[in-house]
Amino acid sequence: MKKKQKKFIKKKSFFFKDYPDPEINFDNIQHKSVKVSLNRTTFLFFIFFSLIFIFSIKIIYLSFFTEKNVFSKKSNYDFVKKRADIIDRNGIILARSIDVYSAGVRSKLVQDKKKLLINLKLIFPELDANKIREKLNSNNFFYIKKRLTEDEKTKLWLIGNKAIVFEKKQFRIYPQQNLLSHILGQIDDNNNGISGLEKFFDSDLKNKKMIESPLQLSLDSNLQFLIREELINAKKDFNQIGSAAFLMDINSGQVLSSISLPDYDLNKRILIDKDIYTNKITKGVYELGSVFKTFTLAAGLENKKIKSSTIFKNLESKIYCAGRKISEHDDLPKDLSAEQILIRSSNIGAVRIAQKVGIQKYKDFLNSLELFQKINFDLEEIGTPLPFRWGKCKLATASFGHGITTTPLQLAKAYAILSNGGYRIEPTILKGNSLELKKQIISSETSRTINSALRKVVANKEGTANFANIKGYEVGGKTGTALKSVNGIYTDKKLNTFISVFPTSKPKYILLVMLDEPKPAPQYVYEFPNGYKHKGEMRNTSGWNAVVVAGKIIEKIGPILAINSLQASK
Amino acid sequence: MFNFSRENTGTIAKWWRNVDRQILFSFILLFLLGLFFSFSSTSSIVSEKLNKETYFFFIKHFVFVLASLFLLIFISIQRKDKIIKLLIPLFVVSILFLFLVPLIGVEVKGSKRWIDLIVLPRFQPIEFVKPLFIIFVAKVIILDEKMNIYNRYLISFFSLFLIVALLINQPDLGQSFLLIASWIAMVFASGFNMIILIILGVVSLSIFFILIYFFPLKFGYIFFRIQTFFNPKAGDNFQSQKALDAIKQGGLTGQGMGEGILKDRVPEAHTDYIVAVISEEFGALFVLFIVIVFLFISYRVLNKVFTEEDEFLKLTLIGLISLLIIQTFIHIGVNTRLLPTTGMTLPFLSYGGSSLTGSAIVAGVILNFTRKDSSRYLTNE
Repeated sequence: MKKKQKKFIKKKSFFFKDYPDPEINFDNIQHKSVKVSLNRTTFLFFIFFSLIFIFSIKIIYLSFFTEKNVFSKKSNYDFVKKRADIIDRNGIILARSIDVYSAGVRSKLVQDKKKLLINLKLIFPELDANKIREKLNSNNFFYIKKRLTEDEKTKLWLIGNKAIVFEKKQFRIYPQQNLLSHILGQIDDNNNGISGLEKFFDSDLKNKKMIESPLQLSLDSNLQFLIREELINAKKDFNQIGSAAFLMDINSGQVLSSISLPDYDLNKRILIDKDIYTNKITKGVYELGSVFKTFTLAAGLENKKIKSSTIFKNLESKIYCAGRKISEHDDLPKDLSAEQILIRSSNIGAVRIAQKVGIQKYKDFLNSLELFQKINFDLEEIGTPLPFRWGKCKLATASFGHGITTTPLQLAKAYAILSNGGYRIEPTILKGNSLELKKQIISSETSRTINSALRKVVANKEGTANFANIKGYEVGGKTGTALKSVNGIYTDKKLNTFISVFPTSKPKYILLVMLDEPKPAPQYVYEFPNGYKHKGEMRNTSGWNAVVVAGKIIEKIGPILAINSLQASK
Repeated sequence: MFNFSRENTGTIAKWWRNVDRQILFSFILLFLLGLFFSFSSTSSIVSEKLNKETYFFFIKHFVFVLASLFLLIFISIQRKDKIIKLLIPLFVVSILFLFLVPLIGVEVKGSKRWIDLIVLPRFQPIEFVKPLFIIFVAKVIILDEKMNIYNRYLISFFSLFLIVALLINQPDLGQSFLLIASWIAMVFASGFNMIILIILGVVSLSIFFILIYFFPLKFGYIFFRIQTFFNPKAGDNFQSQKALDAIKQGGLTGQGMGEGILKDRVPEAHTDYIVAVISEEFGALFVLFIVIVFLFISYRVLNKVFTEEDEFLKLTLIGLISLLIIQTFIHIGVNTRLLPTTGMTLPFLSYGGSSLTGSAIVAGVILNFTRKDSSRYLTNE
């Protein structure tokens, strides 16, 4: 009966619907009609509702974690740094490892080449469509672009073509680009440092325990930038082939800035193999010239052979040693005091002082300043001064800095020791790594005398470094003009150095400026401290270029240093 | 304009008197909400990606919503005997379309799910197969009484198997899961022997794993998806991570309309991640509201199921509402990363012509079967 009721629709007969009776169909259980079980339905929907309920709870739960700007914050849940950051003394990032993606194409998976080409061309208008078409036909796999920006990656992703594959790789970026190229160095593709700090501190930077704490340098990238700008500007005036500058705290030995030009962009990862890219401060070994006269004077003072007022009479205008001529660069008076020998940079005078000190004592003095051995410094690229034998003539030429080599870094270190009261320091590039002033190797008396002599080099009218006499900073310093030797033969090309200490009454900073092969600058208008202007100068000794540049640098960085040291003393 | 008084025996008036208006308005509300969201979620991609006018997608969506509403009312107005008569031919045609997909289908972003016939706009046959399949299963199980009861279940199972095989081939995991789950729900509710059901479940699961094991090329991606789901670091979680971020970003009350970023970051955000987009712009509470609307609809329909006496109507309604609930469940699950990533639209709300039309068919049939005069045309006339 029930069966008949259900066998349905088409039958046009009329009947009243009865209460359904499930018990009716006993005879053939196989043909029973199906009844929807309300219990089961309730159970089913109870489960459905609970599931939806759980999911809604999840949404509410998630939304309670309202983080502002989740998107701008890098979600680095799967980012494991392979190399620690490097930051400068103010916390500015100098080097950081990030994930970068390269996009490649699996040609076989491409279905619509034309469409893919159009899409790629839309994202990268600079791509050569013909080349890509060629590659699509010939190569199984090729890269579209390496090192995608986040934006480019998203755009490529949004094409949604599975032929485009992304490769993730950790990459080192240097946000300051050229600014510290010689200091930071580079790493290879396998995360190994190959030059600079990256190599010297390779194991520290890779140390998993310390990977989250960045390596903090003593360098100040603001100062670095300003000084580098001045060096670059100087090229317009003096057309030097290279230049370098070095700024160091005289008491702690912390290096604030170290520049060597030309430099290169670390991010471009080009092969650096030309000599011109040498780090001139640490790796370059040079004859530095007259800057050595300060050591000669100090050796005389320290050994009590002379006083700064000791007068040297009847100085020749030229002398010969082993057949080589030693002469003055300028017409100088016949009688000069020891101090004036330094101020006016008299070669013959320096020779006389050195002779008075004697070979052994002179040698010991220079060695105590550690000028001729390889220096311990936090970089991979360190130059070793050329070995030589002391003799009478060596003593003579060494007294004014010829025939004797060292690195600018060691020169700066020696000057720092002379000026800071005679305490031994060790230059360092790491913040918080400075030696305590402990060992005094030169008397404070000598130090004071040297400082006042250096001040006079800049301040006195007959001094060689008048252009660096920046008002308010009490700059003292010494010029050095050396002739470059190529294969042992001296040329007329010059290497000019100016090393300055300021403020001389209580020295805090040492600044070294070095210009490689500066040219005479007749077009340049020199402005003397007394307001006199001079143009058409044909000389290219240190006083006419390196000093000018140093003066400009001090003028720029002086206020920053003054503020910094004020803050430090508070 | 209309006269809905009892004296009026016109079709529309009768329909208006008998239709469950609460369910009807819930559906309309959902459609309109979808339209509103597509306004904010699609306008920016269009101008950037397709270089078309800003409201291109919105206008398309608008047209589809209008069409869907007409379809919904059209279906709900029909007499049930007509629907049952038309069911088999329609079902066969839709399965034929599904068959056509691997042959002449269009591949979009790695999946071949669409077909592009010249006379029709590009569409996804599965969206039409789904509601027809549910009704078909209910019809076979309940109405074909001459047949042996196990054969009836077997027929419904074979049709499921056929469709799922075609789906896995596309590949479309989400829809396969949806259909299987809805079928199980129906079979369960129809009072099928639990022991046999469990045995069958174990057997088919083992077949599934054997397939994955022996055909890693064809089925390996399933395993990969599940692997990425359980180990977020292993694979590519771009979309789900972004969707999670979006929900977090939105908070309880949202960032404000048009302020979301997800829609620009994730492809197909306006279809597969619409809940995340809504959550980002309008807040989690709004999503909750939408969920409640869905639950309300199912509550009303269940009410009908409990008072209805016709088994065919009951089972069909259970099937259709399972379909809606499970689809919503999958969509939200994928959006909140409680389920592995799969492209699943949210019925009524997601953008897309096929999805909207499919939802309209489901809604139309539900409305039709929940009418007060629902059993009239089934039993007599």
